Amino acid sequence: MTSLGFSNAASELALIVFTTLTPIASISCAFIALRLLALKDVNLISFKKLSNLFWLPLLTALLGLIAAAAHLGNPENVLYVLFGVGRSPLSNEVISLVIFLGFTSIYWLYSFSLKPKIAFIKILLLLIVLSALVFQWFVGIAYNVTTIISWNTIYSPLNMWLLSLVGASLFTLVLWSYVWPGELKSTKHRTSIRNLRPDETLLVIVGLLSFIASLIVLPLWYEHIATMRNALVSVTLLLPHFRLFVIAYALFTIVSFGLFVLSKRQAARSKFILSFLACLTMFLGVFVIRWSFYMIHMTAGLAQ
Amino acid sequence: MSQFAFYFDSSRCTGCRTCEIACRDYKNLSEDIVYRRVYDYEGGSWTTNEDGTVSSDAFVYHLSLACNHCDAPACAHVCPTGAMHKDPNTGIVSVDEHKCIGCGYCHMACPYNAPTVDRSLGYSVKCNACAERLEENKNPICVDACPLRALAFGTPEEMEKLADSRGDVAPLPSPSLTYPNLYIKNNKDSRPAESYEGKVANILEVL
Repeated sequence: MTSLGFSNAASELALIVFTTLTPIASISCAFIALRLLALKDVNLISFKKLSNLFWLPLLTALLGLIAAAAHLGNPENVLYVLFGVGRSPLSNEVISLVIFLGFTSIYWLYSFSLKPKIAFIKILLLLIVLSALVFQWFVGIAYNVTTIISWNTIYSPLNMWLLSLVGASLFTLVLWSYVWPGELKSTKHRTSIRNLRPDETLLVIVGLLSFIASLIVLPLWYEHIATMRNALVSVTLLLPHFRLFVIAYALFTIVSFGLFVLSKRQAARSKFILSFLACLTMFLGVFVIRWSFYMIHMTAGLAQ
Repeated sequence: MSQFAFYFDSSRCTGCRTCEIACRDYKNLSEDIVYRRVYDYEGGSWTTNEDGTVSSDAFVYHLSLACNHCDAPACAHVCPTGAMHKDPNTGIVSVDEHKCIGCGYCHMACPYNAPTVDRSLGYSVKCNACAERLEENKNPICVDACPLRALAFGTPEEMEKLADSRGDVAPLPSPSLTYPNLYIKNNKDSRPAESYEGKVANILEVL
């Protein structure tokens, strides 16, 4: 039956990729937008550089969306989803994502404007933050379906929020380190919390607290669902070794933050490689937990 | 809105699978698609008495199951396009293939494992109670094919008169989840829905 759990997850690989990449990217966009709102002068070089950097989380979110679309049988009918706001949890999720991507894309294009209007910029940034949060809300509750007993718990959205905060903190820290490379240089060849700017410190605290919270919540989640079963399978049969998934997630996340710290001491080429590896390991850590989530898909009754 | 319902006489069914095969044949289904399944539910044990005789409380019964065209269909509730819908005139839950995106969320949500995405077609498929036969005042093919007359089809009021419960038999989920239009006549060994006294013995066949 463990193989049935793996088969469950493998058949939904596209959705696992989507729920790994896109929520993290959306929260990362929200962090960047909030940082831009905190900058008073839109003519600062750092404002321009950070605005232009939206392309990376935007592309990441789009990659997730493309992965999700790849598993559809008839993607040409997707307009019916867009016309169905409020119809189902999935239509709400997709529509909120399209709105978020729309605002972020417009802002990114507008960031190349030579004479940008400050009011318009600020409104767009606020809309990016709000739409990212709305999307995050809908993607979190998209799995709370009464008949899917193993998903219909408070832990589904809670895990989604925590993992997104962990991932987005790291992802955003990496992006910011390319906007303010001079200011981020460590002193005495060591990088410590004392060398970080206040905004960076805040992100590190958000990331670490979310990480610690996730390490508490994930075992609680499994304890909550472990007794669930239907006429065909049980959660413990579908996912007997959840502890290994949590350990893998913890290791990937610790390594990713370690690589990020290392990357800050390096010259451009090495820094890029380490930054890339930091993001990759972070996404892998989240991917592992999302994989386990799809392994335990189980309805009441007669479907695994 | 009118509504149709299936009736299943658990005391008659021998688990012969004729209903399943007739459905497959009539609907020309491929190997990996099935609209109706027969579940073998069995349980109990035996004990050796002091006098050397053996007594047993072992039991087995069968359940023939397709889409129950529920009053609150989980598949339609989660469908993002409205392709999975309940017909206002007949209550039959079916797929509008011109709207379906083939996301599979209906398959994920249905507790009766009724809809499935046909990857070769790109959209969800499921039992539509042989709607084209109903238009000719005929029964669904599975009903007419059953050699034991264990299946029937009609209005919920008619089916209820024949039955002991509305979908309340193991290994089914609680009928309060989706209010299935499936009326069951029990056999002497029937267990209520969500009972774990027995187990589905043909898991590899029905998954």
